[in-house]
Amino acid sequence: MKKKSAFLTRATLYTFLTLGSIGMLLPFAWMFFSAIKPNSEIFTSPPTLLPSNPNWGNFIDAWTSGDYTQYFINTAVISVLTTIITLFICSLAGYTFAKYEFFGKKTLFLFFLGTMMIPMQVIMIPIFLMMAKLGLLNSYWSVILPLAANAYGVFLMRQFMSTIPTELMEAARIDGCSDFRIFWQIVLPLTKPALVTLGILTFLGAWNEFLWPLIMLDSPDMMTLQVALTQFQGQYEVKWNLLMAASALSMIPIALIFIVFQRFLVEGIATSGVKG
Amino acid sequence: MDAVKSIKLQDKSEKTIARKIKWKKRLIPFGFLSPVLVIFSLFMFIPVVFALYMSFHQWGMIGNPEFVGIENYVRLLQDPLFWISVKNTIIFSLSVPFKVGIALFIAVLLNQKIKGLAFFRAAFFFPVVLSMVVVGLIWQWMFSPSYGFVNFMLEKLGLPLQSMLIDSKQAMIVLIIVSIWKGLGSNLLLFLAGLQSIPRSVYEAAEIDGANSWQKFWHITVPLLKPTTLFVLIITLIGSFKIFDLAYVITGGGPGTSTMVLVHYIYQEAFQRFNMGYASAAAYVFFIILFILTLIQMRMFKSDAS
Amino acid sequence: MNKFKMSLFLVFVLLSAVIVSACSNGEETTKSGDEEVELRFIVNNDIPELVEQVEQFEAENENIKVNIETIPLDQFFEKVETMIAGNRAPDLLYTPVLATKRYANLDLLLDLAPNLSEDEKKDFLPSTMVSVQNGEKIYGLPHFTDEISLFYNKDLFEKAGVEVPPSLDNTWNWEEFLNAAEKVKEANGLKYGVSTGNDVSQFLPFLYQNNGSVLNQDQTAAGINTPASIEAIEWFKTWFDRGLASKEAFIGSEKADELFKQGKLPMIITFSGLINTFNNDIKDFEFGATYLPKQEVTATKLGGSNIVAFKNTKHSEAVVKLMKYLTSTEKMSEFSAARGVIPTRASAQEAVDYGSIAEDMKIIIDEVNNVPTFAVADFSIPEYLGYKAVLTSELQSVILGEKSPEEAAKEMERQINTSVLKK
Repeated sequence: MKKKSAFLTRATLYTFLTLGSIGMLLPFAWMFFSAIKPNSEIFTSPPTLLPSNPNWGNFIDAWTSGDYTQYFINTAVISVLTTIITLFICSLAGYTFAKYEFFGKKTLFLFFLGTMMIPMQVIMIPIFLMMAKLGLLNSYWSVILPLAANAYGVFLMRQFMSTIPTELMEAARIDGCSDFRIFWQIVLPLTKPALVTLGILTFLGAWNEFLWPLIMLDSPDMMTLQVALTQFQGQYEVKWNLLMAASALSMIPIALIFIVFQRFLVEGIATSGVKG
Repeated sequence: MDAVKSIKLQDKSEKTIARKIKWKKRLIPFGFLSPVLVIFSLFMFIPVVFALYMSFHQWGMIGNPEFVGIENYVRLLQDPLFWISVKNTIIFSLSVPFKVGIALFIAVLLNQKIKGLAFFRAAFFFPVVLSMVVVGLIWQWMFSPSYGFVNFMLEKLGLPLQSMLIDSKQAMIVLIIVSIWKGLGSNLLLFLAGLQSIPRSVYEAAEIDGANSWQKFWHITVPLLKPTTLFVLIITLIGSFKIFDLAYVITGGGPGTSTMVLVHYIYQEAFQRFNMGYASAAAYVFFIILFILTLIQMRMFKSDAS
Repeated sequence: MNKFKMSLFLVFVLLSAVIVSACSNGEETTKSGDEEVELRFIVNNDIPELVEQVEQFEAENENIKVNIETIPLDQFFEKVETMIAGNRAPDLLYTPVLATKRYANLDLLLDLAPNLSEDEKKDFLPSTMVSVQNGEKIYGLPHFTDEISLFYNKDLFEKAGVEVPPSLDNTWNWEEFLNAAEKVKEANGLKYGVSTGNDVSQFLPFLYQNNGSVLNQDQTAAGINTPASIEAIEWFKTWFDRGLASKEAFIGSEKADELFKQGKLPMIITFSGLINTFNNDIKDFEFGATYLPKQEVTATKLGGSNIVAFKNTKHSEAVVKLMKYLTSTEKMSEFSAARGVIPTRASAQEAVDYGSIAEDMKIIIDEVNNVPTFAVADFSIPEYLGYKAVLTSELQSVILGEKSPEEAAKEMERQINTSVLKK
């Protein structure tokens, strides 16, 4: 009896997940197949999913329509540096907000939180002026720094650090650990899931960032992938198929990073529910 | 006498050491915060204050600003279009609890030992990876009456055809559906991380007491996940308020003004009508509304916990 | 933990590899010739034909290097305005016609009048000079223009036995135009008879044809809330009420040009520049351009781009040289032919050889050269960008029957007066 109901739950679960996945991925199928169609075949009516004559050359055409290797490198440098900087400074700040008492803590935290609530459009120009003052325009830093100034990571790390028992830190302090060592050797390893999550999301955000690279970077050899993708939009028409092909290619690194790193989110997997 | 003096001296030096330690202790938090503070001061705080300053000026981005006092704010509050965009933004944001709920539900499902876990997780995560141009294109195609997938399926199933994107009431629904699809991935990931922080032993203890899955979810997962949930709620609310790209590429604010949201309004004033000062004022009103809503959320979570 | 460290390590290795390669890439030393000049040229949209000509120019002038930065039109102002605000204006800008006046009025542009001979000045068409000229000063050179055109499916028209108008003087009036659409639609059993795309500029020709306009004559206030303008909106609504036009195409969830290319739409009102795309993509039927209808006057809306230079440029000589090169009769006619757009110089209009689309282009040029002045003034200004959004949203509401044309015109007027024209 119990076995039968367990089987039923399991079947429901798999059915639900499979249907859900299909729903989530269906638009990707269209995107992928559009990438190997001629442009005129994308919006046929009634709609067709498969191309009449798959043209894999679109991927090559898209890649060679500009210096995509360079764009790729630019995007990778910006994304990786942004991620590393964000992880370091946000976890340090999140830890401070979670585990220290200091003057003006609450106000400062709310201030951080508040910066997320100002629309980009009105602070774009002052940030640009600041970069010009610092002489950082048209450098990777002009994109990395505004991306790193994101209260999201501080807030996220604070929430996760607050769940770590304070006794652990007290014990280490009695053993004579310095504050930074406590953070580095005891706290950080315990927040691995949060770090992985913040890392993936920051990387993703930086990889897909459009506005900052567009505004801050001038020379063509500094262009990032997202900015390059707009080059398929002409004045009168869009090269949909190449746009789709280039988009699909530009997604691969994030997909790989997600698949590799999501494995670190299994340690605390509950044995509840369906037993494997 | 001497002895007393030496004791006093010792006491004094101990006191200075203690004071030093105390000072050091006070400084440590700021030391830890310093990298963030430096970057934020330069690229957030100063620009934000700059925008506040500009909100009291007539300024077209190029040229000199002209002080106008609170005129921008007065004009803003009298503009019906502004209120329409406030209303639309709030309607859109009503989907926040729903979005968070779905993400939590799927996160719990995907936090089990099942076959193909990596695939399922990737499938639910992936839409977040797509760039906005492609998202816009895909969904316009999905809902297009002549060559779109939705109508194609409806026709196959013998159901009446729709044209949701040209219906003022349904366009918002489409927008919400797409934003759920697009935004699920990041919330899912956050919940998965949150679930890792719940010790397995707690569940095992509950299992020994004979708790079923539902009880475990309700009495262990939900309370222990509170910090994550608060984070996800607030971030999703902020994200919903700041929605612009998605609406811009799918509906362009239409039909009519039915999906015109606040950031769209700000963008239009800033970069199409070149009223940057006015747009800054709108941004500050936007900020105040959102900040109050966020504080309310935080309060609710606190009173809930006690 | 080990796995985690391993992955982190891998990321670092990748990163360092990437940085090394990036650095080695960035260190291109510039030759220090004595007159080496580098120009920054910002271009709206990706225009390969222009890039090609600039490369030819570079080949002919070895001491001048031109760095082209392409910005999609959607983000054009975010980028350009930020740059100018930060004192980083480029040397040259390839700008949509409507934006030119904004930078001219802010006194940012180089006056080209001293560099042009009287003959050259006269050669540029008056309608295209409206956007660059300010008294004696000339703030830029018009490079090409395009218009909102009417394309039709010859096969569908033939089947319905409907003739298109033979000349500009003999074109349809509004009623005849819609009747033709209806007839072709019925005869072929189609869903639609005529459609615009989702760009509101495709409605404007009809506003002007009725002597309506968005702004008043001296452009100090809205002119849309007038009987003539309202009548045009009312008539536009009947396209949809009679089931001739696709609401989806106008509101944006369907692409009218795709429907046209698939032979499902007998007539399309769209950018004339699409002619090349149509010519390349349409294989199953014959298509052509014909004259837009006329009511009170014949009129259409023009588009196109100007080349302007910022007066802070350090290389004004090289800048003027490039501008004159690109707008020379020869280069301009080459460019226009390759792109299916209209030259802005009378001499280039004569010289241009369009090949297989020559006949259609003749019709289009005929229309372009007969746009009334009040219409040109109405759309050749930066305010166009500001009022476009409200025109779009209000027209959508009218078409969906949520607002009456009068209510819509009132709201357009309100936003134009309080927000767009507020100085």
